[in-house]
Amino acid sequence: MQDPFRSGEAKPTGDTPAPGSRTAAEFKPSFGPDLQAQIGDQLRAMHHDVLIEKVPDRFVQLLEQLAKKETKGS
Amino acid sequence: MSDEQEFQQGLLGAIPRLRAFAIGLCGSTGVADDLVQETLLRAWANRNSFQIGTNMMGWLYVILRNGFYAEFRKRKHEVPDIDGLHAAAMVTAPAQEGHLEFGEFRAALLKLPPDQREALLLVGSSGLPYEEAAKICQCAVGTMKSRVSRARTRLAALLSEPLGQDDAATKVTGGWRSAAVELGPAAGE
Repeated sequence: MQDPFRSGEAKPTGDTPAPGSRTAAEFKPSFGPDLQAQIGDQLRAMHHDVLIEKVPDRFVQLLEQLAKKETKGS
Repeated sequence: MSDEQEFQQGLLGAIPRLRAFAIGLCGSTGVADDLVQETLLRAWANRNSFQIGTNMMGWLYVILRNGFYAEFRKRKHEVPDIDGLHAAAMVTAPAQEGHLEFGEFRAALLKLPPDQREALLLVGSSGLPYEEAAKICQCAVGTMKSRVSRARTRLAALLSEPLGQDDAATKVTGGWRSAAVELGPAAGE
Protein backbone atom coordinates (compact mmCIF):
# COMPACT_ATOMS: atom_id res chain seq x y z
CA MET A 1 0.00 0.00 0.00
CA GLN A 2 1.23 3.47 -0.83
CA ASP A 3 2.19 5.36 2.31
CA PRO A 4 0.57 8.78 2.00
CA PHE A 5 3.06 10.38 4.34
CA ARG A 6 6.15 9.48 2.44
CA SER A 7 8.52 12.34 1.98
CA GLY A 8 8.32 14.29 -1.21
CA GLU A 9 4.72 13.28 -1.62
CA ALA A 10 3.35 15.25 1.27
CA LYS A 11 2.28 18.12 -0.97
CA PRO A 12 -1.45 18.76 -1.02
CA THR A 13 -2.01 17.49 -4.54
CA GLY A 14 -4.32 14.85 -5.91
CA ASP A 15 -5.14 12.15 -3.43
CA THR A 16 -3.34 13.69 -0.46
CA PRO A 17 -5.47 15.74 1.91
CA ALA A 18 -4.62 19.39 2.52
CA PRO A 19 -2.11 19.85 5.37
CA GLY A 20 -4.67 21.56 7.60
CA SER A 21 -6.97 18.57 7.51
CA ARG A 22 -4.48 16.24 9.22
CA THR A 23 -4.42 15.60 12.89
CA ALA A 24 -1.59 14.21 14.96
CA ALA A 25 -3.46 10.95 15.33
CA GLU A 26 -3.54 10.48 11.58
CA PHE A 27 0.24 10.57 11.49
CA LYS A 28 0.64 7.80 13.99
CA PRO A 29 0.40 4.88 11.56
CA SER A 30 3.36 6.22 9.58
CA PHE A 31 5.60 5.90 12.64
CA GLY A 32 5.53 2.21 11.97
CA PRO A 33 8.25 -0.17 10.86
CA ASP A 34 8.40 1.20 7.31
CA LEU A 35 9.38 4.74 8.24
CA GLN A 36 11.70 3.47 10.97
CA ALA A 37 13.43 1.20 8.47
CA GLN A 38 13.91 4.16 6.15
CA ILE A 39 15.36 6.21 8.99
CA GLY A 40 17.82 3.41 9.68
CA ASP A 41 18.78 3.27 6.01
CA GLN A 42 19.32 7.02 5.83
CA LEU A 43 21.48 7.05 8.95
CA ARG A 44 23.73 4.34 7.58
CA ALA A 45 23.83 5.93 4.11
CA MET A 46 24.91 9.24 5.62
CA HIS A 47 27.77 7.54 7.39
CA HIS A 48 28.76 5.54 4.33
CA ASP A 49 28.76 8.60 2.04
CA VAL A 50 31.39 10.26 4.19
CA LEU A 51 33.45 7.10 4.62
CA ILE A 52 33.93 6.66 0.88
CA GLU A 53 35.16 10.23 0.45
CA LYS A 54 38.87 10.77 0.08
CA VAL A 55 40.46 12.10 3.28
CA PRO A 56 40.87 15.85 2.64
CA ASP A 57 44.48 16.87 1.95
CA ARG A 58 44.44 19.36 4.79
CA PHE A 59 44.31 16.50 7.29
CA VAL A 60 47.02 14.45 5.65
CA GLN A 61 49.25 17.52 5.59
CA LEU A 62 48.41 18.39 9.16
CA LEU A 63 49.46 14.98 10.42
CA GLU A 64 52.65 15.07 8.38
CA GLN A 65 53.51 18.46 9.81
CA LEU A 66 52.88 17.31 13.35
CA ALA A 67 55.10 14.27 12.89
CA LYS A 68 57.84 16.34 11.24
CA LYS A 69 57.83 18.87 14.03
CA GLU A 70 58.25 16.05 16.47
CA THR A 71 61.27 14.54 14.71
CA LYS A 72 62.93 17.94 14.49
CA GLY A 73 62.21 18.70 18.11
CA SER A 74 63.65 15.49 19.48
CA MET B 1 57.11 1.43 13.27
CA SER B 2 57.65 3.75 16.20
CA ASP B 3 54.85 4.47 18.64
CA GLU B 4 54.66 7.92 17.14
CA GLN B 5 54.17 6.61 13.62
CA GLU B 6 51.66 4.10 14.84
CA PHE B 7 49.73 6.87 16.54
CA GLN B 8 49.86 9.00 13.41
CA GLN B 9 48.57 6.12 11.30
CA GLY B 10 45.82 5.53 13.80
CA LEU B 11 44.71 9.14 13.53
CA LEU B 12 44.80 9.03 9.75
CA GLY B 13 42.65 5.92 9.71
CA ALA B 14 40.15 7.46 12.12
CA ILE B 15 39.53 10.58 10.05
CA PRO B 16 36.67 9.25 7.88
CA ARG B 17 34.66 8.10 10.91
CA LEU B 18 35.42 11.31 12.79
CA ARG B 19 34.22 13.32 9.82
CA ALA B 20 31.04 11.29 9.51
CA PHE B 21 30.24 11.92 13.17
CA ALA B 22 31.17 15.61 12.98
CA ILE B 23 29.15 16.26 9.81
CA GLY B 24 26.14 14.62 11.40
CA LEU B 25 26.53 16.72 14.53
CA CYS B 26 27.26 20.06 12.83
CA GLY B 27 25.26 19.79 9.63
CA SER B 28 27.91 21.53 7.57
CA THR B 29 31.16 20.06 6.31
CA GLY B 30 33.04 23.32 6.80
CA VAL B 31 32.23 23.48 10.49
CA ALA B 32 32.65 19.72 10.85
CA ASP B 33 36.12 19.70 9.31
CA ASP B 34 37.25 22.47 11.65
CA LEU B 35 36.01 20.33 14.51
CA VAL B 36 37.89 17.31 13.15
CA GLN B 37 41.06 19.38 12.82
CA GLU B 38 40.75 20.56 16.40
CA THR B 39 40.20 16.96 17.46
CA LEU B 40 43.36 15.78 15.69
CA LEU B 41 45.41 18.58 17.24
CA ARG B 42 44.12 17.80 20.70
CA ALA B 43 44.68 14.11 20.23
CA TRP B 44 48.24 14.75 19.12
CA ALA B 45 48.95 17.06 22.04
CA ASN B 46 47.60 14.43 24.43
CA ARG B 47 49.05 11.37 22.75
CA ASN B 48 51.06 10.49 25.83
CA SER B 49 47.83 9.95 27.73
CA PHE B 50 46.60 7.46 25.15
CA GLN B 51 47.49 3.84 25.82
CA ILE B 52 48.38 1.99 22.66
CA GLY B 53 46.24 -1.06 22.21
CA THR B 54 43.17 0.53 23.77
CA ASN B 55 40.15 1.80 21.87
CA MET B 56 41.51 4.76 19.94
CA MET B 57 38.28 5.45 18.10
CA GLY B 58 36.34 5.77 21.35
CA TRP B 59 39.00 8.06 22.75
CA LEU B 60 38.82 10.26 19.64
CA TYR B 61 35.02 10.38 19.66
CA VAL B 62 35.19 11.70 23.22
CA ILE B 63 37.65 14.45 22.23
CA LEU B 64 35.53 15.42 19.22
CA ARG B 65 32.38 15.46 21.28
CA ASN B 66 33.95 17.66 23.96
CA GLY B 67 35.03 20.09 21.25
CA PHE B 68 31.55 20.11 19.78
CA TYR B 69 29.86 20.89 23.08
CA ALA B 70 32.36 23.61 23.96
CA GLU B 71 31.55 25.26 20.65
CA PHE B 72 27.85 24.51 20.92
CA ARG B 73 27.63 26.31 24.25
CA LYS B 74 29.29 29.33 22.71
CA ARG B 75 26.99 29.42 19.70
CA LYS B 76 23.78 28.33 21.33
CA HIS B 77 21.83 31.20 19.87
CA GLU B 78 22.85 30.47 16.29
CA VAL B 79 20.75 28.43 13.91
CA PRO B 80 22.33 25.46 12.17
CA ASP B 81 24.39 26.34 9.13
CA ILE B 82 22.07 26.24 6.20
CA ASP B 83 24.93 25.35 3.82
CA GLY B 84 24.88 21.93 5.32
CA LEU B 85 21.24 21.55 4.50
CA HIS B 86 21.70 22.63 0.92
CA ALA B 87 24.56 20.28 0.58
CA ALA B 88 22.56 17.37 1.81
CA ALA B 89 20.36 17.62 -1.23
CA MET B 90 23.42 17.16 -3.43
CA VAL B 91 24.57 13.95 -1.90
CA THR B 92 21.96 11.59 -3.16
CA ALA B 93 20.61 11.07 -6.60
CA PRO B 94 17.01 12.20 -7.10
CA ALA B 95 14.82 10.58 -4.49
CA GLN B 96 14.06 7.00 -5.26
CA GLU B 97 10.51 5.86 -5.11
CA GLY B 98 9.52 5.21 -1.55
CA HIS B 99 12.63 6.65 0.01
CA LEU B 100 12.93 9.61 2.27
CA GLU B 101 14.57 12.54 0.65
CA PHE B 102 18.06 12.96 2.01
CA GLY B 103 17.98 16.74 2.38
CA GLU B 104 14.77 16.60 4.30
CA PHE B 105 16.20 13.86 6.48
CA ARG B 106 19.32 15.85 7.32
CA ALA B 107 17.28 18.92 8.14
CA ALA B 108 15.13 16.90 10.51
CA LEU B 109 18.20 15.39 12.16
CA LEU B 110 19.53 18.87 12.92
CA LYS B 111 16.32 19.72 14.70
CA LEU B 112 16.92 17.04 17.32
CA PRO B 113 18.48 18.04 20.63
CA PRO B 114 22.22 17.32 20.42
CA ASP B 115 22.13 14.51 22.99
CA GLN B 116 19.58 12.66 20.89
CA ARG B 117 21.37 13.46 17.66
CA GLU B 118 24.71 12.14 18.85
CA ALA B 119 23.04 9.00 20.19
CA LEU B 120 21.48 8.34 16.81
CA LEU B 121 24.73 9.06 14.98
CA LEU B 122 26.82 6.78 17.15
CA VAL B 123 24.39 3.90 17.31
CA GLY B 124 22.30 4.25 14.16
CA SER B 125 24.92 5.64 11.76
CA SER B 126 28.26 4.37 13.00
CA GLY B 127 26.78 1.13 14.26
CA LEU B 128 28.39 1.23 17.71
CA PRO B 129 26.94 -1.00 20.41
CA TYR B 130 24.85 0.86 23.01
CA GLU B 131 27.49 0.11 25.64
CA GLU B 132 30.24 1.81 23.69
CA ALA B 133 28.10 4.79 22.74
CA ALA B 134 27.12 5.18 26.41
CA LYS B 135 30.78 5.19 27.42
CA ILE B 136 31.60 7.87 24.87
CA CYS B 137 28.72 10.05 26.02
CA GLN B 138 29.39 9.26 29.66
CA CYS B 139 25.87 8.13 30.38
CA ALA B 140 24.19 4.90 31.45
CA VAL B 141 23.40 2.28 28.82
CA GLY B 142 19.70 2.66 29.60
CA THR B 143 19.95 6.40 29.04
CA MET B 144 21.60 5.80 25.68
CA LYS B 145 18.86 3.39 24.67
CA SER B 146 16.14 5.82 25.58
CA ARG B 147 17.88 8.67 23.75
CA VAL B 148 18.07 6.60 20.58
CA SER B 149 14.46 5.61 20.92
CA ARG B 150 13.25 9.16 21.56
CA ALA B 151 15.38 10.43 18.69
CA ARG B 152 13.82 7.92 16.29
CA THR B 153 10.29 8.80 17.37
CA ARG B 154 11.00 12.51 17.07
CA LEU B 155 12.58 12.07 13.64
CA ALA B 156 9.61 10.07 12.43
CA ALA B 157 7.30 12.83 13.66
CA LEU B 158 9.36 15.54 11.96
CA LEU B 159 9.46 13.60 8.71
CA SER B 160 5.73 13.03 8.78
CA GLU B 161 4.93 16.72 9.05
CA PRO B 162 3.92 18.58 5.92
CA LEU B 163 6.82 20.62 4.55
CA GLY B 164 7.19 23.90 6.38
CA GLN B 165 8.83 27.02 5.06
CA ASP B 166 12.26 26.32 6.44
CA ASP B 167 12.14 22.79 5.12
CA ALA B 168 11.54 24.15 1.66
CA ALA B 169 15.01 25.68 1.85
CA THR B 170 16.49 22.21 1.87
CA LYS B 171 15.12 21.66 -1.60
CA VAL B 172 17.70 24.07 -2.98
CA THR B 173 20.51 22.19 -4.56
CA GLY B 174 24.17 23.10 -4.79
CA GLY B 175 26.75 23.35 -2.08
CA TRP B 176 29.87 22.20 -0.54
CA ARG B 177 29.72 18.52 -1.10
CA SER B 178 29.39 18.43 -4.85
CA ALA B 179 33.16 18.49 -5.28
CA ALA B 180 33.70 15.99 -2.52
CA VAL B 181 31.17 13.62 -4.02
CA GLU B 182 33.00 13.69 -7.31
CA LEU B 183 36.14 12.68 -5.50
CA GLY B 184 34.30 9.94 -3.70
CA PRO B 185 35.21 6.88 -5.79
CA ALA B 186 38.90 7.67 -5.40
CA ALA B 187 38.70 6.98 -1.68
CA GLY B 188 40.54 4.02 -0.33
CA GLU B 189 43.35 4.19 -2.83
